Amino acid sequence: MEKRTNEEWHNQLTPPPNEQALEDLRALLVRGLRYALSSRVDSNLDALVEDFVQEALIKILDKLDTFRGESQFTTWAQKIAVRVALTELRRKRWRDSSLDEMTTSRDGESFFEPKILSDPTPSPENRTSQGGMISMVQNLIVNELTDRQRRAMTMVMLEGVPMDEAAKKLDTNRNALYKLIHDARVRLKKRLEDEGLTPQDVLSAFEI
Amino acid sequence: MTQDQELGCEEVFELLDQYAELIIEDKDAREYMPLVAHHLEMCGHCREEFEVLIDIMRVEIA
Repeated sequence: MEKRTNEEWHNQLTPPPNEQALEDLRALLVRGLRYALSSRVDSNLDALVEDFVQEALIKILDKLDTFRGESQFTTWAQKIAVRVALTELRRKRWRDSSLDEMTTSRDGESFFEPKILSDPTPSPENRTSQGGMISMVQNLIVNELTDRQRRAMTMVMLEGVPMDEAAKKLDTNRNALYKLIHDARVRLKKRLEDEGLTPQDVLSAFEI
Repeated sequence: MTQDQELGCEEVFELLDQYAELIIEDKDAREYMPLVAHHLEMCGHCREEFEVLIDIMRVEIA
């Protein structure tokens, strides 16, 4: 493949794109994704990679003028292809996976018991401190967070819903969802500090 | 751990190619871009995308 500078890539892909440049970029992205996804995809790897690269090329050409030249063009392009591929793979996995591991509600009330906290064999001392810690953290989450924050945290951090899927359900985007959860984390952290606890104190109660 | 100021996923995505190149060049990426480094600790999705990108870059230069 011809080695191109950033400027050459940009010029040759500006509409109408040079066919050889487009083909070289396509081949580069296919090579990268095929290597990276070989351990993540059980079947139809080649077909999936072709689809991902096709979608990535559309995005790359669409965003060409946003490339600022602060990295190699090929790195920037590969970043976009990786985002396309992993977003779609997560969506497929989520759609195909069972819901057995979801938390359940109790008595119809808004309740959750994080699986990470349900240690089946705590010591007597830990059972008390764990129980107390669970109650306190639950109270903080129920009383301090908005419904939207609670829903976001439950989906992403407990139910394992991919960020993009959770964002769709909340009618928002991934960036805003991250910020929503971040705001919730900051709030919980501050409230823990008000109670004289650090996040490490909470983790230590569960011997993490 | 949670910090008061954190970048969101899209903000980090905009910088991920630069950050990845710092890593590949064995520069102290965490020092140059600490907020990106922190986000990658906190966000599994972005961390996975970063790790895949690094894998691809390492194979390309091998």
